[in-house]
Amino acid sequence: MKPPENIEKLIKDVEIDTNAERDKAVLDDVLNALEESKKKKPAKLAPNIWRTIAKSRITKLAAAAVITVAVLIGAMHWLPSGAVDVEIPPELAQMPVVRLLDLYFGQTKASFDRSTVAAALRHALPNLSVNDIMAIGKSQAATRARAEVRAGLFGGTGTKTPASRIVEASDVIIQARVENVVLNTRDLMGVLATRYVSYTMDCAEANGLDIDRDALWNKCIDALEEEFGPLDRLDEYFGKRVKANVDLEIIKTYPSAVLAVGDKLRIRPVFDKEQVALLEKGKEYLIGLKHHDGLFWLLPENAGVYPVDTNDATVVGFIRQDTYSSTRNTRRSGLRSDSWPSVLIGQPISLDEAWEFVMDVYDAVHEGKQPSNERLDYWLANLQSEDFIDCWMAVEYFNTLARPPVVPELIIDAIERHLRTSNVGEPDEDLPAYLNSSYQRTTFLAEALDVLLLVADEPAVDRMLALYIEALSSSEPIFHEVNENEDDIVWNMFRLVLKHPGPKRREQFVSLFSLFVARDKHRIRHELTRMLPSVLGFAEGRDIDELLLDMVEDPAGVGIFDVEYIEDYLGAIWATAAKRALPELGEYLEQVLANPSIIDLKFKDREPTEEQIVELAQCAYHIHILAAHARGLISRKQALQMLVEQYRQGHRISETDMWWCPVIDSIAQLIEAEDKELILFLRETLPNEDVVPIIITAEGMSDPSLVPAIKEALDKKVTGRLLRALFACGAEKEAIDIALAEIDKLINDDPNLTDSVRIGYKFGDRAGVIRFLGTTADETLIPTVEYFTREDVFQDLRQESPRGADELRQSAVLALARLAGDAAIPRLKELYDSGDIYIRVFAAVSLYYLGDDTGYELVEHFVNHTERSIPEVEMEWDPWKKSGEVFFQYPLMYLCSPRMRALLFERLQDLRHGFDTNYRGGDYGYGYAFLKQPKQQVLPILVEQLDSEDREVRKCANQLLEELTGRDFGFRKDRFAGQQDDIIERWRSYVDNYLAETAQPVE
Amino acid sequence: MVEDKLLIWKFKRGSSDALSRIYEKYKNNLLKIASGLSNDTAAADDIVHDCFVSLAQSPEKLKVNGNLKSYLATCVANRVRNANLARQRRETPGLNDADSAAADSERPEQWIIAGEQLRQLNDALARIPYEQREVIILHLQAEMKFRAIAKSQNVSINTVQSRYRYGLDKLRSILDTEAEL
Repeated sequence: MKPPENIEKLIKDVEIDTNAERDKAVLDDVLNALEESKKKKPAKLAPNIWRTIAKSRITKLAAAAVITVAVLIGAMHWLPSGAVDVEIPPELAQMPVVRLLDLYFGQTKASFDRSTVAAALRHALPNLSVNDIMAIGKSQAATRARAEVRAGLFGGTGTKTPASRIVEASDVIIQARVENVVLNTRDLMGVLATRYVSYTMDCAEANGLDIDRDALWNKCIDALEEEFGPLDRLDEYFGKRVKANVDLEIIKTYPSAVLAVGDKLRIRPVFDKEQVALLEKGKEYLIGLKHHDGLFWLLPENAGVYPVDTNDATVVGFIRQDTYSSTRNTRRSGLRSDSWPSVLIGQPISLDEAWEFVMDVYDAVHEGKQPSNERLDYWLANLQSEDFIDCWMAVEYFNTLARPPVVPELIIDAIERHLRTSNVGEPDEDLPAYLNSSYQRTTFLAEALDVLLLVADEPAVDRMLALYIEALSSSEPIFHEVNENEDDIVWNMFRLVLKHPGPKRREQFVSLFSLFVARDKHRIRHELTRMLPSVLGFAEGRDIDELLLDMVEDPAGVGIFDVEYIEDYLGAIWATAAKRALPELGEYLEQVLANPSIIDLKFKDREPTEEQIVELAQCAYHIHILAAHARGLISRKQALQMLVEQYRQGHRISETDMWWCPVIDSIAQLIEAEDKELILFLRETLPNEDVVPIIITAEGMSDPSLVPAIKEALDKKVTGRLLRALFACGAEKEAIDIALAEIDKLINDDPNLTDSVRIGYKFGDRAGVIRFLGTTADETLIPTVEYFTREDVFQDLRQESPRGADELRQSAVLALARLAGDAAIPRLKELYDSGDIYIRVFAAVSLYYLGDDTGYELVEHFVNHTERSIPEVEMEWDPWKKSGEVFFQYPLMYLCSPRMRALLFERLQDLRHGFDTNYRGGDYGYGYAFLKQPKQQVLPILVEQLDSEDREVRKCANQLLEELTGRDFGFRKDRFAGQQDDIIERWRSYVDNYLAETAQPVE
Repeated sequence: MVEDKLLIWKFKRGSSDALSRIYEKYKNNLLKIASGLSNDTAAADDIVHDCFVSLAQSPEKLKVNGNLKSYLATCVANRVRNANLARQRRETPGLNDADSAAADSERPEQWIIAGEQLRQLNDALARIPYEQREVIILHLQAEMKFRAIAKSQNVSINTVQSRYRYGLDKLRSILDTEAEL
């Protein structure tokens, strides 16, 4: 009898041949049908893209980061046309840029009029290199940037990303020649202004002069505003980035069907000021591009741009460009951190090799293909190569496959071969040699262990462990390297020994653990003591449960001695055990909390203090309650009761290295409208907990008995969330009166506030007050709210805080929509036509809320696209901080209606933009409340996104799932798609069970 | 399948190169699916031909974010189902669907050159109920997830999984019996 899997394989793989003539005949029919349909519907089938874009409002905002096909080139030009009309005197034409800036910004009196100086400056701009720009001013960053440019390795931020991830994040990879780069004059002038201010301040300091930096900056902005109109005076954003038009000619592309060789493309990236030379005219690059809805752009943070050296057909820094971090290595080098340059490294490899890698990784990651025998031979040969980079590329390649068809022995051989290097430079003597040897090799080791984790059998684990333990005790410099790769290496080693259930793994884990805590390295002991117990969280099995309990109660008994950072050890081991909701641990923690002196760890040096024990035990107990509830061991009511008790015992914040979660937030997550018995608790906690007013409003816990406590809190500080809670509890008139009094202060307050805290209060909290007014349904308030939508109201306030003034006005736009309903539509349409992108966004959202689709284009854009195609927005968002799209989520929550909920759900179906569930996001912070109610709808949406092609989507989906369910199935955000099907299946079955259990019975 | 998304995008903007590539990429797979579902190479030929022509005529139907392979496979499955219904209306009811389909109408210019293995497999597939056959083929040959199949057939995922399991069991016993003969 044939087993069913053979039949499945047979059906899957059965071959079919076709008649070539008929193939062609059918294709001809198909293409004819296409031509016919084009004749019938030319506008729909082949739209003039430029016309479409030019008509759209979004592109009127000058859509950056857009590549359009060749026909578009020349359609836009950044430089102002006035520049060509002025004759530039030779004296100005030859003047250094800094001198020109002196004249332009009015620091030096000039015999030329301003327009002539401006023309000379504009004339100089296109010829400025990043060196010229960064040479103005002499900060450390500028020195570093110059060094990087000189090295020809300038890659901008995000260059640490491995090439395999760049390919994963790209929809198409091209090799292209840069035909032209045009930087936006206004933005470039902004950058020059910041450099100029820095330069002038340095000069002044050197000469003992006292110059007011803010006054100088304002003077520069005054000068720029004369030419460019109103600018944001906050140099936090302005002067940091530059929009650009970059024209490319495609030389090669993969996948080949997307773009054709010879195609001309225009991209419109936004460069960080240190990236202005990222793409240089006349040079060739290998570039990863993202595609979305007909537009192409560089990857986030402009990563994935690799310079091609056409002379010897090589790619620079392809396999891994690393910015060697100075601060993390001070101990080994003994050097002061600021004496370490940040250097980009990366050995050039042949262009052909890079393309082989790109194509094979693309096929594996995007098409889910296993390699053909021929490709497998190629990569296996590379894996066995004596050449380090060849071997490393093979490791990176195999790391992208769902099931790497490689025997573990080969990977361990590769590790053994390349861990030892005869060419180890000393960091303080020969940095490049050092970086290319031991440092790079630790990166290689971390990645090789990643592959090994996928394929290792038990003998392989034994061999690798033996090799590693031997290496740790040897004097090989590579094993004594301390850098950011070490955590990954150690983590992977522990995961490796835990991989196979069986009696050996406990012994191996403990011996490795003891080895690490015994190492004479201060940092290692501290970090690993904190980190290592949590690795046990990934392993299933009763033996691991027992090991955890033993490590909790009697670490010396399992061979763990001399843990220097005892509190770190306790915090980590208790938190790890607590996440598994082990009943024995619950009992143990209860005993510890009742009598902390029962702790006796028998460690040599010292024991934890009672205070530490109580604090850590409370943390762990909190985690234990949540985990027990998530696993269905205790009911929601029981969990709530236990958390409230915990809070009352004085434990308000749970914080260990593994977990940070205020108890009150956990209560907020569990509480429901029916829990009226907790009203008293809310009253007690309101003075101290910002989240309580949100619970009262969003979770339906309003009650008249809460009014005195809320008013007491309002006496101290007036916030929108407190006012909303007061209103919800029935004191409607009082809430409005307090709000109006507060608004009055805003207008009549001392305008000379300079203290940043007071300014934050004045603007941030009062913006919340305006938003509160919008929720009152009191029509008499409409004129007040509308008043704050006017631009002229904010002229003075903007001097104090442009951001604060903007927030007030944006809030007023939303509040007007909510308060005035349809009557607000004409005013909102006026606002939608304003020049301020944020006011336009808020007006668009508000109109959509009212059923008017005037601004739908912008609304749809934020739901389905990214901020990158709106350059004004991208210019301002810090890529390391919150994205513009998460910010966009809050107005949707404020304007709650079925239509807006539908929009939020649509947003949730594509998590590229992230989704913020934080309860503590000002009085907007209702994210969790939004997801909590329709959990039955939300969970399946999230599970489906766990196997998304987009790493960020997978990460966000898993994070939200863990938040909403309290479960952790060990999904790893750093794995490639297709490598965690088993974990996704576990999530699926968990959600299916949840849906079945919570399904409403059909009448 | 990022390439597919880009192909859809280009195709929706009228690119014949993109359509040619879609055709090259999926024609064999669709022919395999159609012949498996109908067990009639001539009918499969027409169905896949019509499917591509219809695609070319109305690019707007294709969603940019949809799965191209699943979309095409579902089109083929729908057309096979419609053809079966039409044939049932024409023919005397009571005849075994598989028996009638097995009488392949060969054409000299036929598109599919079916090997012995494909022929045998299709014959075996034709002997299991159509619903089960469709789930097996869509899951294994079109690589559609059970959820997507359930959605396209408007039945629950449990039903789809049962059909798959029963279908495979039956197919196994058919093929085993043949192997013993």
